[in-house]
Amino acid sequence: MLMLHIFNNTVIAILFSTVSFAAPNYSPKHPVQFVKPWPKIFDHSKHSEKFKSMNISCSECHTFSVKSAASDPLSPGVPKGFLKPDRKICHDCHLGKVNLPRSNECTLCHTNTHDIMPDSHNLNWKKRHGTFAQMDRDSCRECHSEKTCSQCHSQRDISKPQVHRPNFRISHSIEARANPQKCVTCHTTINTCVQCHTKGVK
Amino acid sequence: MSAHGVATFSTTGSLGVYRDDNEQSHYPMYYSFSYSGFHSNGIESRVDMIMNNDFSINEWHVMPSQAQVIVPLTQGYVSAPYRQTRIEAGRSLFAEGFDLALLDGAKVPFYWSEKGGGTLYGGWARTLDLYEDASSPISGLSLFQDVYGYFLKAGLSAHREGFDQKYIDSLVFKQWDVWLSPAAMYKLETDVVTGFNQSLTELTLTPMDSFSVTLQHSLRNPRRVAENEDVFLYKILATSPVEVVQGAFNLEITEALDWQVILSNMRYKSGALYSNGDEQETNLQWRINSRQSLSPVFRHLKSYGGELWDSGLNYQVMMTDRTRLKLDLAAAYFNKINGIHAWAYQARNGIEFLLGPNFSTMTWVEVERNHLYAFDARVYANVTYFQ
Repeated sequence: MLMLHIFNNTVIAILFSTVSFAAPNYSPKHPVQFVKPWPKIFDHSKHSEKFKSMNISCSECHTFSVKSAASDPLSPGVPKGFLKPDRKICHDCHLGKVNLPRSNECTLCHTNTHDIMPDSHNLNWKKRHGTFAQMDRDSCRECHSEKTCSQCHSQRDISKPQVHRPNFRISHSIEARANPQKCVTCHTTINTCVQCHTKGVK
Repeated sequence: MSAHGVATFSTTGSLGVYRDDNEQSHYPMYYSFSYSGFHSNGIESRVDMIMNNDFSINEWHVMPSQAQVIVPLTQGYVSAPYRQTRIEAGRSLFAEGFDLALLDGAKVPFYWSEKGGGTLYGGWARTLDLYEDASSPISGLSLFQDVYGYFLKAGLSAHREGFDQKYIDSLVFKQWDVWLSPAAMYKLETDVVTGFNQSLTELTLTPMDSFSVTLQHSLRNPRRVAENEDVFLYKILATSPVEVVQGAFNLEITEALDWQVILSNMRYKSGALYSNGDEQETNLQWRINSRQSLSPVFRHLKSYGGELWDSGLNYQVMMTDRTRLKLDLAAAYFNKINGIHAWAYQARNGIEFLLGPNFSTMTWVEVERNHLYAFDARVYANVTYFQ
């Protein structure tokens, strides 16, 4: 207990120390790689009908904001291929707003979702993410939609529970007595136990 | 982006079969419908409906897990477009302070700058437990501001009929760009009447890009979400708050290989006695290439309920652009307080096919062997339609 008090006090002292710098902005640690070369990643034919129904014009994406490096009037203009939108414009629709036939829609364009995640997500994130979501839930919206949360926390398929590890039907009695608080994140009443323990083990 | 709007939906139906330890067959069924729409004026709407049933015992659970309309009031900021002042009305997941529940009501996240704002909320908090249909009133306000790199947050929430349970939440978070790149958080909940209720302290250090370590101490005092819920599960197992000390590190051995170690110690009172839980876990995350990944895990867990030694292997592969395979293998040895000790094995295998642009199907098979089942197999199949 003494060590814990020292630990807590140390953290609090660090928090309120006068040494402070602006926290670095998040950017991927490794180069982001795409499933196709960038010029070919967007398929106009798959999007044109949707864009038409949404009354989206070419200039919504092709903003002509890229300027030619040359300044004299006789230099070649910016090649057509450079008139490309910001990459994040894809995210305007493709972050949870559009239902796609794949469980992880980032893999539509990105080869490796590990490389586009913040470093914090590599460190015991399944147990720690709740604290950060409760701290600043909107910062998660940079990459995640509401569906990311609901697919584990509220969209429960009792025929195929994926949240728990294999053999959980056998080991849960040991786990529940190790940390009972973990269970009540999702299962709050004794009815959870009664479902199986009075009607035969399932 | 200007637009009239776009609406998409997906619907999934699945059916399974298995036998319980009384040799009775069960036919669980799952259906979900998910709708997502966003319109030219920026208004978004979402509905997720789920339905579970076990045909053999005719036990239905139907629930909208999410149903909300989001009306943006501002555009957000260039460097933080997600910081939009908006009104969210309906049912959605609610996470504030130490609470996690479904909120039937309204939330208004608001911002006065990209570094400051808050959330005003009110409605009924509903438990996430599928078997309970219970809710209680909840309302509150939280404010946050970034001050010289310190993320400061404070909130007041009122729970239950008459809002007679009130809590003050406060939080400080700071990340430094100095040697070890420390990041520290302190989070506290105080009951307005009784004082200290829950806390969490965390320190994360990153000595180098490929290595990070975190230490966390928490003292949690769980509470039921709704007044009219049945017997609170936590009180069956514990009679005091639970104290958890946890440490973890992640080492990026190569760009494709991560090694993680997690150590936890839990302590709480169960009746008159203190109970300890200890858990040690180590795992590897190997991204073989852009299509395959392999993750072995080893774990040891000890509590007054028994002891568990667990090993597992998870393998995922995109066999083609239209076919994905997922395989989970596990072998565990357990020794329970009731004297039962045995090996348990389980394999979970799923294969997913993309049948054209609008359909996907998945077949899922589980086989297990343990002291209850000499050999148990469960099969599920689902079909999802996208539009």
